[in-house]
Amino acid sequence: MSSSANSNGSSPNAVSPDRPVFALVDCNNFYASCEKLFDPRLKTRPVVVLSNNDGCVVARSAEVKALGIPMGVPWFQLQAQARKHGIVACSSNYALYADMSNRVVEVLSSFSPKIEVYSIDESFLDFTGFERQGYTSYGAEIRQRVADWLGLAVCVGIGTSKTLAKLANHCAKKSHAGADGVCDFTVMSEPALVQLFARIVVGEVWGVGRQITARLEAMGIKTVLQLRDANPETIRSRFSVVLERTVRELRGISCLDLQEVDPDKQQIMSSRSFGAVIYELADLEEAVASYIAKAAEKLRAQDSLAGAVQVTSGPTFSNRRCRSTNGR
Amino acid sequence: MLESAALFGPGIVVPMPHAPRLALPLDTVKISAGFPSPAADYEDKRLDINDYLVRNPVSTFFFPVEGDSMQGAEIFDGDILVVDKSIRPRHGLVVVAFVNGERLVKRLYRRAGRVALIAENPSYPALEIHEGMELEVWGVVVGKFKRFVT
Repeated sequence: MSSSANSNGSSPNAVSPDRPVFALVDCNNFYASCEKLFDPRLKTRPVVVLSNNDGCVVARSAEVKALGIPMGVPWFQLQAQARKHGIVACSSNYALYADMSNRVVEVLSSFSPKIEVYSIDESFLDFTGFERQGYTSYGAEIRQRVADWLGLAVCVGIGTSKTLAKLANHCAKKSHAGADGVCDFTVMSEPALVQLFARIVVGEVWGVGRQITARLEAMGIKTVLQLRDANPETIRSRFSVVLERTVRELRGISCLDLQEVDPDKQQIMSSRSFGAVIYELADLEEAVASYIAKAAEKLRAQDSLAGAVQVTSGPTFSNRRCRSTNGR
Repeated sequence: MLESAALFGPGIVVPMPHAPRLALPLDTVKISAGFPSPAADYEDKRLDINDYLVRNPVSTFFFPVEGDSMQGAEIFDGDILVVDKSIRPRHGLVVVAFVNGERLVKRLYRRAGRVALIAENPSYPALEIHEGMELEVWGVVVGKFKRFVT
């Protein structure tokens, strides 16, 4: 962990001045933190934020995560636990989250001229050429500024590619590496990174979803380290050029510039669970029709065409997400 | 009264992020109400209310006031406070503070080991902050405003 953080081996992440460096700044438990920020009664309570129709959990405070309550659970299934642990449910207030998100972005913009707002609670910052500041302390400064000015906690991940910055952020959040919410891969030695990457499952890598994870695991690639050290040509032929790029990014070769990835264009989700269990087919049909209309609206708004439409319905699954974190 | 600002749950209003600027000329003739003009520096200039009250919009929030405990500091029921989180709370400043699940407006006392939140009204005792009590100074009150005619 951090014991070997400062021994400079022949790390492929060692930074020369012209090498790109990225930071990913991510707000911790964003929606729940926004709710807690203004309400002193919520400070130490477990807080969940519910989807628009108060159907299911779309955000959890750290206390709720510690209770093991997964994302997407319908609220009516949580009544017993809520009473037992004093869980507070807040209706989602997207005006508040959007305002706080804009403020975070505004603060971050004063730290780098190039910023990509990746989602409502995550932004990439270009740190290239900032080596004299010391990336780690610059990241700590960002964290402190957001805490002081906005009262929100963020984690900062730093690496020589966006994929590494995202992974470093994950490590900062889970306290796998780094300290005080900042994890900087650029100051870690190669042996330290090898040790770290061998402990993280491959599914945590940005862009490696559930299906790719399953296929990689079938090939024996189970950890981040194994994916990083996989043959790029093999990955390209068995998967795609996109995953090959991920392999290179994990090696510290930056292939993705800021703003290059736009995940919204790939898939549009319009789904949620019902406030109560429904029994009539007509109710289900009506809901499906309105969700499809909503998805089509989003599709038109981004000028895309749909290649396929998938409709799923079923009994309540506890870890199905019911609403996108982007909120609108 | 607050319809032009976004209302955020109980008692919190945020400034409009990009409020339209409206600079109006300041009258050079002062109105006699027994106090010096707080806008003296702006004489013969144009004054924008946002600029005057909000120095750091990104860290500024508005809080409506309830109660009379701060009337000695010219803070009255129904006033809207301008609270700036970017200002470091110091002894003597009026602050918004969270104590034991309550949101309060008080003057911060922090001298010689004593930490207290002082009301500006003789009928309210000072709230002493003892070991084990949780005090969070949320932000510094930098100003207030109120509209009389709706």
